[in-house]
Amino acid sequence: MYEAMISRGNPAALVFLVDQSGSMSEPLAGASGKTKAEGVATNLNRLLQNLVLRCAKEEGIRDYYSVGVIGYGATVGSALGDALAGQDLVPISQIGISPLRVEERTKKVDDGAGGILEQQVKLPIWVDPVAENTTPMTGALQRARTILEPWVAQHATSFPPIVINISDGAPTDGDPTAAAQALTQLATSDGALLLFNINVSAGDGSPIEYPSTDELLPDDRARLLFSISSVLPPFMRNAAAQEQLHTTADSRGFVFQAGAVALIQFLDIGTRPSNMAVADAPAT
Amino acid sequence: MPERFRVFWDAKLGSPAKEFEDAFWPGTPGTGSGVERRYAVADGATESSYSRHWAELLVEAYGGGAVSPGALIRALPDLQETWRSSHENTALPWFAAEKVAMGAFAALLGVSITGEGTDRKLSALAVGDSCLVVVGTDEGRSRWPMKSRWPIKRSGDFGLNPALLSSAADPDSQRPLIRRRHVELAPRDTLFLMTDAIAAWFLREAEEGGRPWSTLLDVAPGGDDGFREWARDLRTTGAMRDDDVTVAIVDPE
Repeated sequence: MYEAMISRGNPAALVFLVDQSGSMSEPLAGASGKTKAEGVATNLNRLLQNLVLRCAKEEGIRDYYSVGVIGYGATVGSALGDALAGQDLVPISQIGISPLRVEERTKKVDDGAGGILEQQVKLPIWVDPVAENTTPMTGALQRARTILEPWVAQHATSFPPIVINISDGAPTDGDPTAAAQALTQLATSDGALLLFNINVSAGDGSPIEYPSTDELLPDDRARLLFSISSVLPPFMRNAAAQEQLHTTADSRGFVFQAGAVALIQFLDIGTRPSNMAVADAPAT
Repeated sequence: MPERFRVFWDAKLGSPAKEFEDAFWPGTPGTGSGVERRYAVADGATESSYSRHWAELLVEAYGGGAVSPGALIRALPDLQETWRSSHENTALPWFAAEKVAMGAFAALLGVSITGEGTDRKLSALAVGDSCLVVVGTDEGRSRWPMKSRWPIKRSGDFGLNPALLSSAADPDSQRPLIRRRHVELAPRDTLFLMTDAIAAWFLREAEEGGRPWSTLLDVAPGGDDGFREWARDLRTTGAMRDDDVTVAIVDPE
């Protein structure tokens, strides 16, 4: 299980559910004044950029992945805009050619001779920060199932979809348990859909990362998110170990009270199939 | 006794030949002659763009005389400029421009043979995980001992993200680790120059008591089609990792 090689004939699906509620305008712990919404958008854009670059070849971008970014706040729907507006699951080649804009930043780099060079770097932007209204998380999970049910039927032998839910609060549209269970019942021959949850935080509390039980979780909201999170497959546990994070065979893909660092690690570990050797794109 | 050079290659399963990213030198099979005979394989990294071009530039440079680490290091700036000027273009979309800026990467294995008969000497150079195996033989004996396997000695040592040669002239990057080896060859020694996936299969077979050199020499008369059918069977059954594969065989004619 969770060993299917990713190829153009057997692509993978990644869906991000992004909380866009009003409280996402609060500062993100450890993010130098950035709001939670800004921190999430920055990291999602960086992740999408890296994903596109991994798939880009001289002839264009190879469709190893389809990606969805579903925002939930004032509404539940695709957070992608312009040419991708309204599209729930988009081949990575279309993501690559359709950012909202490409920003240029100046980066200082070592010139190798003791000096500093200023280098222009391009930052494509697909997702802008949004923070308004409530937290319809249950609706977002239902939307993910609607999007992925036909995908699973069409890709029965692919690596199963990964859904990453990024939020700072509790659902305001009812208990999400049934919606999460319906979502994780989707499966390919390589395993059940993986649902990972991260709770981003403004506070100074240490993050609780990849717990095996809910015994040490501080409140019902944390226990709820733990209960709907999938167990980490072994290769993701290896990825966590590379980040010096301790996990067990029962560890869930769940982080509570995450600041900026834990968010970056979580996205890296949770999307680790993007680093797996794909069937027609090994290292050399 | 002249040397015979044969080369067999195949792209990954389901990939068209135009996506094949290995390269070899000489570009066609033939008979080696002259004071110094040079043979090379290079393995372009799939994650970079225009890797095949970079792999071709490297084997051509080796074939053209960059056979020592110093000569290769001196040749690199011109090779990097050739690659960059071929692909840099202000009209490229952001991702293509970024990939060109990141450069292409490739492993390189080259062998240079001098002398004749009992006086043959081999000098090899390697960056990355392409692999040379020298198999010796005695007429009439059934066992062909592996005299040399290099720079990787065990099948389990592949997949460790080897340092590769980059087409990007990055002042931050360290000088690549270029390995060097010399071997005294017997008249009937056979050389196998292999990119990583088939080299890993070869060493694993040998570790398990098999005779992969015999297998390859048995497959060779079937030509390109026979080799590809054999390679695809190995990949389909999981006996060989699904990657571009190249094997060059240099043996007494």
